[in-house]
Amino acid sequence: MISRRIGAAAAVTALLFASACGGGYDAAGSANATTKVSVTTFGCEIWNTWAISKGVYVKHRLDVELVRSGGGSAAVAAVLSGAADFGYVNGYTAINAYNTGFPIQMVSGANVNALPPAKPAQGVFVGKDSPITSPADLAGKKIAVNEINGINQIVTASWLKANGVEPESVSFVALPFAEQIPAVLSGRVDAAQLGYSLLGNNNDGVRSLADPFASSNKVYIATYVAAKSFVAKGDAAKRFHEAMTETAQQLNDPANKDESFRLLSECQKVPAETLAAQPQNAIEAAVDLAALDRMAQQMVDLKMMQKKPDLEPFVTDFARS
Amino acid sequence: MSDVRVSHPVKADVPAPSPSGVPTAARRRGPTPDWAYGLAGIATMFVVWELVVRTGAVSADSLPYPAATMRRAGELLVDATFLTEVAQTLWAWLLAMLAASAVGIPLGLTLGYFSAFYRPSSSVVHAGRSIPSSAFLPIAILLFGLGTQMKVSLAIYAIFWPILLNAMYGVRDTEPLMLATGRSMGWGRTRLLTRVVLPSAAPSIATGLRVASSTALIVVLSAELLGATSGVGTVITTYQQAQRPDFVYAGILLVGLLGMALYYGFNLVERLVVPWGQAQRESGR
Amino acid sequence: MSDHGAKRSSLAASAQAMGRGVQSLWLLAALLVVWEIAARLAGSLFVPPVSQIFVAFVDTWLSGSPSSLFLSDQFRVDVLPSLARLGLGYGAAAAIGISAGILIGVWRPAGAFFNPLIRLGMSVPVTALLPIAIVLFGITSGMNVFLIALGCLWPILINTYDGVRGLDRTVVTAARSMRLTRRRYFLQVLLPGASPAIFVGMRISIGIALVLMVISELYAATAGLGFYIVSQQRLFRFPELWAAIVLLALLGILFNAIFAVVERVLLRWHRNVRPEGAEGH
Repeated sequence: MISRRIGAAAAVTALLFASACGGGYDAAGSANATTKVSVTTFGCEIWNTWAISKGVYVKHRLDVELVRSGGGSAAVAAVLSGAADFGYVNGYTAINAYNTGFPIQMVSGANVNALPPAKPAQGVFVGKDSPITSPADLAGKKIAVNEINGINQIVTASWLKANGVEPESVSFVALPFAEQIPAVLSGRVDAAQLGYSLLGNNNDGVRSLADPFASSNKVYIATYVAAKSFVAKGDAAKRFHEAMTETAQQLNDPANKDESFRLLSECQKVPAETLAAQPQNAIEAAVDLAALDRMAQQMVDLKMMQKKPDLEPFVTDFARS
Repeated sequence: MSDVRVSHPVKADVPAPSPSGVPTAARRRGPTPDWAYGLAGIATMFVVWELVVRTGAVSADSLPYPAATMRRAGELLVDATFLTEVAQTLWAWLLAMLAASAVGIPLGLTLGYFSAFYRPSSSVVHAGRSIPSSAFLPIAILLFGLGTQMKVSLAIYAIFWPILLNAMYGVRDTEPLMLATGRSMGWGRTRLLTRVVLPSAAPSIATGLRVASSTALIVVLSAELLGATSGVGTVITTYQQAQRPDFVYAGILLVGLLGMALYYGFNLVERLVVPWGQAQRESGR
Repeated sequence: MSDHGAKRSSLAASAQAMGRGVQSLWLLAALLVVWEIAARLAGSLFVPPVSQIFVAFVDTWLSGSPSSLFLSDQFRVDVLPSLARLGLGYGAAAAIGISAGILIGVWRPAGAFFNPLIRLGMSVPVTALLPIAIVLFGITSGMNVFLIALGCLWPILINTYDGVRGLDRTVVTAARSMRLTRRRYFLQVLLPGASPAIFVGMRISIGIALVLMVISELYAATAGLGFYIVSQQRLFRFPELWAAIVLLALLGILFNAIFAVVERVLLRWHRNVRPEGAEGH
């Protein structure tokens, strides 16, 4: 009888142990962060490729290690757990996470949409012979985006709204980028919102209705967030921002275009000529608070957020433009 | 009756009952070996695949031609980076299998043995196994970061349940008659456990591990597709982003073959370690 | 039996049923208490305490009017389509898996022909086939049904195959010597003999079906529980996200309970038949 009780107790303990592992974790960054930092990545970001191969990070005394991670909550979890020091997220996700109460701060911008007079890098694509010619024609239609409630959906919905189309009247469908254009061409969706650089070899099969990002003015497509405690601990975040600023300057120099495409081509396994032919998003390391504020307002308008948070404490001083 | 058992290898000497009860013509003429049929099956798959793409039922943009895929698979097989990533995936798989069995088997034996725990723990198990492990991705990252540990933890979550469940069912299925016999012979608890309960639960445990082995591979791979630092999944994602479906499907095909190899390997080990499992199952209990 | 007696026995029965409910759920309840305490201590936004999840659960799924069984509009919009897909996919997998499993089980060349293909199919993550599913079915529920069916197919197919191949040899020999007609052999020997294994496959597939129901809705869906889970995750609404996960877990318990009852009813018949067949030599 006694041994049976012991067995039972052991079983309970084992179960408790198995289930209680979900405890909390200290959110502090790693101790040797003064030089070695880890940055989450989706794949091949041109600024990372450039800064690493041209020694920009090293110049700012940063030993950058890239770690692959999805965006959104995965990247936020990564910086909060110390698994990464800088998390790659889009501006909307960053604001949303901050608004939810996660102790993070924005330390740098990276990618913004290409604003006129530059060629638009983004589009709402329909088939070449599609009867859809204006935003109004999209009412009641299916639009492919990369993620539900992600940046592409927010921007497209805001664009529709600005053109008098109720966003609720269209249905957004999540599809991997690679599947979007085939889905448009086969008529499975009516339109898709993605960047020109993701069209693959389908440039001739589709046309763009407009650059939806342009109606939002400036949108931060890529930013970096860090745990608040990490920012407070030293100047690594500041140096990261400075490295990004310098990288942006070099990348925006037309003389460096060919070289940047060559580097990117190696990483992405896409020919450099193809890359050069595609309009690219702009690089901007400084964070424009007014632009962020407009982005927050868009989410409130789309009922994704209750009310606009105070973004002042969110963006670090050194990162502001 | 074990709950989770997927299959056991076909033994060539088991007579296939033909519905009429009469041996089929093919058998009388002298049997064609199984592997020949298997090869024919694989060949047919490639033909159908080719036809599907050639007729345009599925465009070559979405599904590449089999020949192209095989060529890319060949290229990947001699690509050192790819092989390193395969090793990373396999390493995560192995860790998950070891950790999940180390906890799942003893716990399952315990829970199955004490009837007071059996029913309450089954409801926990059924609740747990209905939740896709990918739902825990953010939490896994929070706890384990972005490296191998995270992948392994998700895979452990997914395979913990079948392993646990099979161990539980294995113990529950112990022939009461055998237990009674053991008791009447004055065997103590330890002796009953090692002589009766464990041997009779072993086949079921083995089945759980076999199911877990393919699930673990799939989950590790999915975690790598969703976000991880290393592994075959990250290679596939890179090619996906570069819009190279030929490489993507070559990778998937190789992963499928890897799963097949693990499966047959497991079968072999199982037959060596638990030879009585086969007989037990074939007696159609 | 008097009316009074009947009432008392039904009372006793419900008390017994309640006792059984308590017996099977106390561990789950205890784990939830541990969760509540751990979550409060840790204070992580990612894992809210159970009480907070419970509130979100009621708000999201059970805020409807009594006439709609308290089920909310959200439940109708997201859960019902998912359940329909689940039912169709699972049903298709069962129909195809059982018939194909029997076919390749009784006809050895077919078994040898398909065996490697089945092993390969099992080892490929179903999600990797999403692009093909989209091409074949478009952005419709058919795509989700296809993925669910495909994932559930393998365990049912293989277990049926095993069940048929593993038929007791003595029974098969006896049936042969009795020169049963094909029809009688199928209905009275093969199907009953293989049914425990078939049930095992169907049972595993329930869990797989629920998981795939969610996974298949991560992409190319406009509604569904999986769709709801991603959209909440994107918006960092963790209590709502967990409420959806809790709903999934409850569905898992419910389906397994239903299945256990069905299996008991069907296999009781089987168990009565079987010992005669198995031991009558």
